[in-house]
Amino acid sequence: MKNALRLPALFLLFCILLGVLLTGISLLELRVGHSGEPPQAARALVVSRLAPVLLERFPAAVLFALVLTLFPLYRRPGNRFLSYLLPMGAAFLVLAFGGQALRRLPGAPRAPQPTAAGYFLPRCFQEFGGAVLYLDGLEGSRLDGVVAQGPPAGGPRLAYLGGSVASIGGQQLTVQGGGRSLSAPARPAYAVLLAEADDPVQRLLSGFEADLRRLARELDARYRASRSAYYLTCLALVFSFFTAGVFFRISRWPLANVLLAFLVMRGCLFLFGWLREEVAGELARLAGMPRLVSSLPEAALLALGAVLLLVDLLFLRFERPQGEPAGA
Amino acid sequence: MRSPGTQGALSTLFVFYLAAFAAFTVWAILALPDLFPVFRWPYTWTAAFVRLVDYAIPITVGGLAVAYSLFLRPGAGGRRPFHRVVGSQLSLLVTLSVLYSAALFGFYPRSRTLLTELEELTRHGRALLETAQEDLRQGRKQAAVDVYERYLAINRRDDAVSGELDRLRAELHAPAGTGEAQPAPEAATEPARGQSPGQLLATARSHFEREDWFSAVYFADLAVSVSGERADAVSRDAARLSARAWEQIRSQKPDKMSLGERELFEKKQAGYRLFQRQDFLSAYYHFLDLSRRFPKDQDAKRYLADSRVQVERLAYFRDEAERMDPLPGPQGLLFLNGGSKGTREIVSIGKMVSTAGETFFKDIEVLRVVSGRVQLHYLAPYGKLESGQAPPAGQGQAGGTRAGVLLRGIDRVRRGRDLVPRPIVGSLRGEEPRYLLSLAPRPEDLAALRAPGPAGRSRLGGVSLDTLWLAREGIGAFGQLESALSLEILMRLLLPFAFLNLGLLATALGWSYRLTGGRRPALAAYLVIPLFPVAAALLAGVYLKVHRLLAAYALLSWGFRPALVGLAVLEGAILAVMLILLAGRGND
Repeated sequence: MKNALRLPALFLLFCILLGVLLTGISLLELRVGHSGEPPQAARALVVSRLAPVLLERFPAAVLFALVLTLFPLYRRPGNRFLSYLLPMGAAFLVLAFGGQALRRLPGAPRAPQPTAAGYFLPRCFQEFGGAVLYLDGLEGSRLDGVVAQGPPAGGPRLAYLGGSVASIGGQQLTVQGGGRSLSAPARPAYAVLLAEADDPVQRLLSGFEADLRRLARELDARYRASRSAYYLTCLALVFSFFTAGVFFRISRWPLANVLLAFLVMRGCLFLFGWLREEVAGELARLAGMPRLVSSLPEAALLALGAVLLLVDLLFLRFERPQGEPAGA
Repeated sequence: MRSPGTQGALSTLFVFYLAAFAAFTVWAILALPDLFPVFRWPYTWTAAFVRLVDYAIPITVGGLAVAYSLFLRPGAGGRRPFHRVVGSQLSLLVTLSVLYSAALFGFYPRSRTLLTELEELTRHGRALLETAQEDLRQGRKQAAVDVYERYLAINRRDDAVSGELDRLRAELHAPAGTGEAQPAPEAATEPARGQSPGQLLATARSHFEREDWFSAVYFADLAVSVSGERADAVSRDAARLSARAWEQIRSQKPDKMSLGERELFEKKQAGYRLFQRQDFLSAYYHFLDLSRRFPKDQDAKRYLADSRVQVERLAYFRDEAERMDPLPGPQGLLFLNGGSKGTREIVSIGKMVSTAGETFFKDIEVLRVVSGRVQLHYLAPYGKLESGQAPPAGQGQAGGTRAGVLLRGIDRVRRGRDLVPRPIVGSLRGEEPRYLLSLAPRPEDLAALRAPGPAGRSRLGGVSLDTLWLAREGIGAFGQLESALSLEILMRLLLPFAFLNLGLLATALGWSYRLTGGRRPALAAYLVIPLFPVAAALLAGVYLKVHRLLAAYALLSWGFRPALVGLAVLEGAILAVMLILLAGRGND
C-alpha cells in the first residue's frame, strides 16, 4: 500500500525534473543558435519562447516520467490495483489538466523580429543553400562585400556579389546582389555548431524527436477541436505507455525486458503518428465518417493497451520473482 | 585481467567487435560508391574501420551490457562488493579506452581522408580518360599519350588503356617512358658547394692555368657568390679572375677550333650570357639542350644544375605537380588571404598534397577585391609551396615572412608548355610578374581551413587533432568560424571520456539487470542481442548531443580554455558518479 502511494509522488518528481531538463535543453539550443544576435535580443527571444517550448516538451516529459515510474513500481511491487491506478491516474491528470493549465498561461512577451544579424556571420565563410557565402559586414538587412562560392565546377567558383540585400520570408532566407539571388532555409548562424553528421543513429534520434513534436502538435490540435477528444487522446497515450510496462517482466532477462519495453513505447508513438497522418485521413475520405475515424489512433492505442493489460493480468506474476536483484 | 569475469566480458566484446566489423564491411560493400576496381577493397576495409571507430562507443556499451547481464554470474562464496567482482573489468575498460583513443586520434583522420580521396581519384581518373579520348578524336596523339600516362598512374590495372597506350607509343615511334615524363639529363653534381671562397678561388686558378676558361669563370663567380657581401681580398681576386677568364673567352678565335668545338664554345658563351642576365629559364633550357648534345661537357652540366636551382625558385615542374594527382591530401580549402583595409583576397584550393618535403596544390582560384571592385580573379591548375617569400606588393599585410605558392608550371624538357594562371578578371602578370601567390596563413595551418559544407562538423573529421589545435588560435583571421574548430577539438577530446563513462554505466546497468533464476533464457531472447548496440547508439547520441550543446554554450560564453576546464570537470564528475554507481551494485 505504502509503495503504491509513493508512486504518484515519484511520478510528479520525475515529471518536474524532466520538464525542466527538456525545456532547458531546447532553450539552450535556441540560445546557442542565436548567439549571433545582440545578447539582449537573444535573451528576449529565449524568454518569448519559454512558454511554447514548455508546452511542446510537456507531453514528452509526462510520458518519460511515467516510464521512469515503472522502474520503482516493478522493483517494489505493492498492491497491484493501486500500483496501476495511481501512477496512471496521476499521469492522465497531469497530462490533461497540466497541459490545459499551461495553455492558459499569460501570453509571453512578443518575440523580437528576426534580423539578418542572427543568420549571417560577418568575415566568416558560411554554408548557404549548397553554396558558401562570405560577407565583409552587415547593417540591418544590407550585406557588404558578399562573395559566393558555388559547387565544384570546371570553371570559376568564386563570384563577387558586392553589396547585397538579405530578406527573411517564413522559413526561407534570400540574398540578392550582383545580379544573383541565393536562397537557403533560415537557420540561425550558430546552429552550425550543433549540426550533427548525417548518419543512421542521428536519423533515428531525429525521427524520435519529430514524433514527439508531432505528438505535442496533435494534442494542441485536439485541445482546440474539443475537450473530450483531447482527454481521450491523453488517456490513450497514458494507458498505452503504462501498459507497455508489461514487457518489464516478460522474461528472466531484465535488461532485455527494459529494451523491449522501450521498443514497444517507441512503437506506440510511431503508431499514433502514422495512424493520424497516414491512415486516418485516407479512411475518412473512403468511409465518409470523419469524426469517427479521427479517433482511430486513440482507439488503436487503447485496444493495444487493453491487450497488454490482459496479458499482464492473466499471464504474469506481479511479485518480483525469487532471485531477482534488488538493485534493479 | 585474468579473472573469469574479465574473460567473459572480453570474449563477449570480441564477438561484438568482430560481428560489428563484419556488418560494417557488408555495409561498405552495399554502399560502395563509383570506384575503380583497384580501389574497391582498400575502400571497403577503410570504410569498415572508420565506421567501427564511429560506432565503437555503442558497440562497447552494448557488448558490456550483454556481457554483464547475460553471461557474467555472481561468484561463489557468498556476498562480495561489486567493485571486487569487476575490478579487473575496470582495468579492461581503461585499456579499451586507451586503444580507442589511439585509433581515434592516430589512424581515424587519415582513414577518413583516404575515403574521400579514393572517390575523388576515381572522378579525376574518369575525367582524364575522357580528355584522352577527346584528344584522340581530335588527332592529338602525343597529348593523349600524356593524359593516358596520368590516368594509368591512378588506375594502373586498366589493361585496355595500357594496350591503347602501347599502341599509341608505337605509332608515335616513341619509346616507352618518353615524352612529358622523360627525365632531364643528369645535372652535374656540385662538388664545389660547401667549399670556402679560398678553395673555390684556388680551383678557379687551376682551371685558368689549364686554359679551361668557362670552368675558371664558373668557380671564380662561385667564390664571389659564396663570399656574399664581404668585399675581402679573396672576393676581389675571384672577381678579377672571372673578368680575365671572361676576357679570354671573348678573345677566343673560333676559326682555330673544329666545327664541333666552335659550336659548343659559342653555345656555352650564349648560355653563360643568359645566366648572367638572370634569365634562368632560358639558361635552363639552353644548358639542357647543350648537355644532351655534349654529354661529356662539365661546364654545361654545372650551369644546368645552377640554372635548375634558380628555375625551381620561380616555377614548378608540371610533371611533378601532375604526379601528385593520385596522392591523398586535404580537399576543399577556402580562406581569407590577408588584405589591408578595403582589400580582400579569397583563396580556394581544390586539394593540397604534401610529400617528401614538398607541398603541391591543385585547382587554385583567387579572387581579390579592392575598394568594392574585383581587381584580380584567376584560376591556376596547380601550385607549389615555396617557403620564405616576402609578401609581394599589392597584397597588403606588411611585415613578416609569408609562404608563397608558385603558380607557374614549366615542362622539364620542352619549352613552351607552361602552365600559367588563367585570368578571369585583371592580369596576374601585371600584378605579380613572378606568378607568386603569397599566403597569409602558415602552411601547417592550411589543412584546417576547410570550406564549410552541409555535412556540418564532419568536414573536419579528416583533420588530425594536433592540426586543429595548432590552427585554432587566430583562425578567425582567415574567415573560419573559430568556435566551430574549438568545438570540434572539445568534442574529440570528450570521446574517450564518453567511452569510459558510458562503458561504466553499461557495466552497472548490465549487472543491475542481470539474468535471474540461474538458467539461460530461451533461445528467442538471444535475438534481442543485436538491438543492444542500436539502443546504446541512441543513448550515446543523446549523451554526446547534450555535451555538444553544453560545450557550445560554454565556448561562446566563456571562451575556449574555460570551456575546456569546464568540460574536464564535468567529465570528472560524471566519472565519479559512474564509479559510485558501480561500487553500489551488490553481488547478491
